[in-house]
Amino acid sequence: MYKLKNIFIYLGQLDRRYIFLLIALSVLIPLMKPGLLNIPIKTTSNSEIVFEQLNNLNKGDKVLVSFAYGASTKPEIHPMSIAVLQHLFSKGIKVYTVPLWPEGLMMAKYALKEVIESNLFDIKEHTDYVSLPYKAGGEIIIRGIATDLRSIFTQDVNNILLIDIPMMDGVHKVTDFDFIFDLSAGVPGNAEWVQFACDEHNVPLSSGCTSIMVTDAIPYVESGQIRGILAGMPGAAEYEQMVFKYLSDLRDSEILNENTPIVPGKATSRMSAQSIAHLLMVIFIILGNISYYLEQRRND
Amino acid sequence: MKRKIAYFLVVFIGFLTLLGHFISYPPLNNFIDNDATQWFDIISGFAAFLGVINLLQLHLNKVANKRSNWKFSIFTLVSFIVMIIFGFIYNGSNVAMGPHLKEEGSAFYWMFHNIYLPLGATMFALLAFFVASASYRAFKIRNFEATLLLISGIFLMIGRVPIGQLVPWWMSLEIYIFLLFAIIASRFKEKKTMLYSMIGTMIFMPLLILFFNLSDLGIFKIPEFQEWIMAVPATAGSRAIMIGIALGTIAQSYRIITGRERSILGD
Repeated sequence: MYKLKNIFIYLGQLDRRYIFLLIALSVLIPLMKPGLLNIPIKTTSNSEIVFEQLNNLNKGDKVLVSFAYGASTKPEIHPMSIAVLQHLFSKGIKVYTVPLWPEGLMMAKYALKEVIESNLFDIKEHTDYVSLPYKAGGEIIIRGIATDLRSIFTQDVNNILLIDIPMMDGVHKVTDFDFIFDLSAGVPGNAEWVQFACDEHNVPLSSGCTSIMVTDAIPYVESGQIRGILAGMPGAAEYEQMVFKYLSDLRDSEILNENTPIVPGKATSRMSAQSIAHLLMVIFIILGNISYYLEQRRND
Repeated sequence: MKRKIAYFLVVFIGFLTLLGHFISYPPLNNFIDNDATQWFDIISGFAAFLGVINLLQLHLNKVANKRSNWKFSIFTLVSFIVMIIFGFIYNGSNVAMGPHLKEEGSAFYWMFHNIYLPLGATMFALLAFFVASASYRAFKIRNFEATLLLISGIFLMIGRVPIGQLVPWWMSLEIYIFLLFAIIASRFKEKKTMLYSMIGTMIFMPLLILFFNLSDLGIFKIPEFQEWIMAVPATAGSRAIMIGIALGTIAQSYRIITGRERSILGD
């Protein structure tokens, strides 16, 4: 018994390098062997609301997708960008991308490129999507989009005048969009879309954000100002599952290109790694507490 | 005089913007909705330029005076200059300057894709290691508040990932009982009494739950319980913070537009 106590106390003072090593292994092994731990992903109500909201849109509807994340948060947000774009294109919805962060421009480019290269859909720039360039200003750009988009943006990302793009006909302000989808990892993000555009002009908004942002965004979700939320990597994985099922059901329809495989996104395969890492952290916390308790008792 | 003009501008534009939200006068509303946003756009462009100059100045000074960690400033300056060259001078692709930033053949794209992107992701990924280490050392049952934080943290960590679904109801129940006894442990004079009470409760409670057929309650399903934590206590806390921030913003804005708060101009 005494030996066991000592082991627990010793564990409490474990060199953090061992903790780092265990975390690295817990993430690396499931990432390198995705089939090792195959736990079904259960969808949460917030992810289902997002899916239903986008699913209720009709062919030809206009959706503005805001890219407010960068390289650091790409692993968490990017899978949901791909899944959302796939869902939108599968419904024949016109997509307008706007970067609110300098890196958002590249993130939008990567997401569109990945969807195009999947060959699932026949999509063309200026027919199915338009990419707006980055403008400095954050929430003021959102305010500008809300009132007069053309006063902020005169060209698209390829320096083509917006008046020369047929897809931009009738698009002047936020109310000309049928839906706004925000992909964000900070400020400006979903809160700014609520405060500066969507709530005032009554335009439906959904969001996909990092896990740490969810606590700040959840009051808007509960009040209905944000219609559902994709919360971090788990949210992305849930959405990927729903889109995967939706696209699989469309397999024989003419919307999808023939002989193109439908594959679940990256977030799904990353969930095993996150599961193990979270479990390991909980084990660390329990061990840390046992050690703390025993040490306190020894000191008393 | 310069300061007075600056104060006058702050107060005048502040009041104008505020009035624009309360008075329905088309020229004023147009100014607030359109012109002011363009002004901000132009000013923020200049601010970014000033930021760049400031960054250069700061790091050049650091290198020139060989202040602490000055060697890292060399990396900052070199990276800065390289990206400026690839962004404004050297293109490397056939497309025009500007759109070349997102064109795959361009040098800027190469740098972003192969250097900046992996470095950014690496920096963020390091968080996992620090969070793990910190949670091991800092997440302790010290008092009631710390215990609440610990319980919420554990349930969120497990409930947010698919592995949370695999936790059976009785295990959740045992965790609750364990945590309850961790909180009330100090109230027991006899250690053995506490131990027997805990073991008794851990055996008796699952049987009681089974008898009353309550095992399907959401509280025993970790994913559902974490959703409740997010929807109710987390929302309440976040709303309280948001309202506090909003009131603070109103007070601070009032001080600024009435000229009481002068620190914004460096006073």
